[in-house]
Amino acid sequence: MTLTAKELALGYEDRLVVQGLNLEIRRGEIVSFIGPNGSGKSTILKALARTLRARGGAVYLDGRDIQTLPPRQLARRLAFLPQGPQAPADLTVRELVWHGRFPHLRWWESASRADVEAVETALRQTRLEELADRPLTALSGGERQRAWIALALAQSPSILLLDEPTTYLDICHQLEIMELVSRLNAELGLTVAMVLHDINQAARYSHRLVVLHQGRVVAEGPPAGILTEELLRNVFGVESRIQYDSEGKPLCLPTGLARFTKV
Amino acid sequence: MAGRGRRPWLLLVMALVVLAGAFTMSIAWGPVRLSYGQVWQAIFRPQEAPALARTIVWNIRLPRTLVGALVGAGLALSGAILQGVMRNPLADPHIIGVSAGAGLAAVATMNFFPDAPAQAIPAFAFLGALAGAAIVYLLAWRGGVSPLRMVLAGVAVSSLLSAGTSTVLVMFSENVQATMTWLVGGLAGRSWNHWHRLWPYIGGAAAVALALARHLNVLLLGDEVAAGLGVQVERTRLALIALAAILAGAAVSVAGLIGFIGLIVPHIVRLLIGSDHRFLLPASGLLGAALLLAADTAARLVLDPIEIPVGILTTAMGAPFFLYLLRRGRAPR
Repeated sequence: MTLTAKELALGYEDRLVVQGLNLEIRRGEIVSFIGPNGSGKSTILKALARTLRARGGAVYLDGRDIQTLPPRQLARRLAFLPQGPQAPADLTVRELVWHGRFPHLRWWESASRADVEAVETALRQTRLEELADRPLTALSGGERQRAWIALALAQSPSILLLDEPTTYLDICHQLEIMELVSRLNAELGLTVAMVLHDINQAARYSHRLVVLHQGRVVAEGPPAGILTEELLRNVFGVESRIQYDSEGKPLCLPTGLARFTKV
Repeated sequence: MAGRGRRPWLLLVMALVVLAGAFTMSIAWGPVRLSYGQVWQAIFRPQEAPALARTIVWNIRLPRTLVGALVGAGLALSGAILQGVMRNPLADPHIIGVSAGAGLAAVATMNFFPDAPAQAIPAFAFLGALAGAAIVYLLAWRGGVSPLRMVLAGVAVSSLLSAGTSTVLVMFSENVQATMTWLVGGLAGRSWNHWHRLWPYIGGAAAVALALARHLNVLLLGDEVAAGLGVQVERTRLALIALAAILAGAAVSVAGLIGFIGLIVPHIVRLLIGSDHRFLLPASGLLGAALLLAADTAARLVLDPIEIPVGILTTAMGAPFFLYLLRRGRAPR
């Protein structure tokens, strides 16, 4: 399944944030959107998930405009986890994950074998079996984020969209989430597109980076090819040194603020 | 779907038992005390029952009790829906302009058209309730309705409409007695006519609301998550608010502005049963009916032979209980 954006224009109220955006998310890859605050990365992700309506252009799922797809049908193929989601205080992990079956169940239908299977599988994939009956409030930040990812997995999607899935987590839980995403991609062939703040994590765990600046794509491709000192200076306004680890993945070490920023 | 095992079902059955008890008491108790045997006989074998018991049950207490049950259920269900939709534990039918709209329409009808037929008052009160909710909804709309904007608009519009009601009261001070009696809310003299006009609205809206319980559950996860799961957020929210307006509007149009049932009952039920609306909604309806019937029975007895309007009693019981929940620190989530 491929997700394509063509000539996308996006905005809030009277402010246009993104204009003329073309983008393709290919089957089976991990793509990360990086860029400074206000560059439009979360906005683009929301449009890909259809929670934000495009001002111009369209998003296509396998060639079909997602606006023309019934919402539940879209939700069975594509799952979206926004930033910092909230749930009622008494909800348990399993109850939360069950909501992922919403697009598969009409209101008069009760859960089938396949629904139970999907929920238990999602709990297993996120290693939450032991915690399944605990209330969300009793979980650590990292566990809670895994529970929300399990909710998305219970939708049985082919594409997973994550908006800053590691924000507010400590470094260990951040890596745990990134490893989980990698594993889901490798084992299930799940296509993942996510917004990340940490450039090094994005470079380490993604097949492809999309670098955004002021609502435009300024660079796009495999991390090793596009992360340069010049790019970081121009887009993020920082001086840095780029090094490569033993696997050839780029690693950027910021050394200070750029004196003057172009662009 | 997965729930908490058998517990919610057990609580639903218990709510049903409580309602049956309150229902029976409401028919048996009053200025003339009937035994439960007489009640049973009068309802199920009326030909064999003594004439007095038959008349009291069929002409007075049964219609009044049935109307009371519908009113209590409608208010509590409306509150349960609104607390979910607004994601605000303080939401209740008053917050969306329903009560204030109904109050102004009813008071204006009573005073400007004193010759209007008796059925006109509930009809206009119902329209006023729906209009109040519609105004609040439209004022809160800005490319979508955010729950917070809706609550704020509701408070403002309700104050404005209440000011209108007070103005009418002052202008027609000679009618204050009758008007106030309606405003505080009561079930005295409610008859089969009221029942026939009430049940299609409450029954229909309740059935649709129960069918939307899963949508409401998903909405509690936030607009973005809900949209991602395939819920059409604005459309669903509008439908739920409209249902809440119909339920509360129909209830207050027949019984006046009965307070606190719509706020308190969903709270208690949430503490007992959790926030899964597939159980929360029906349990709120059942317990709302039970609570109003219990209050109405008490209203007939405490100052016998004077009857207190039940609206005063629900507020007198509801407000302290609400403060108790607040002090315990568990209620508002």
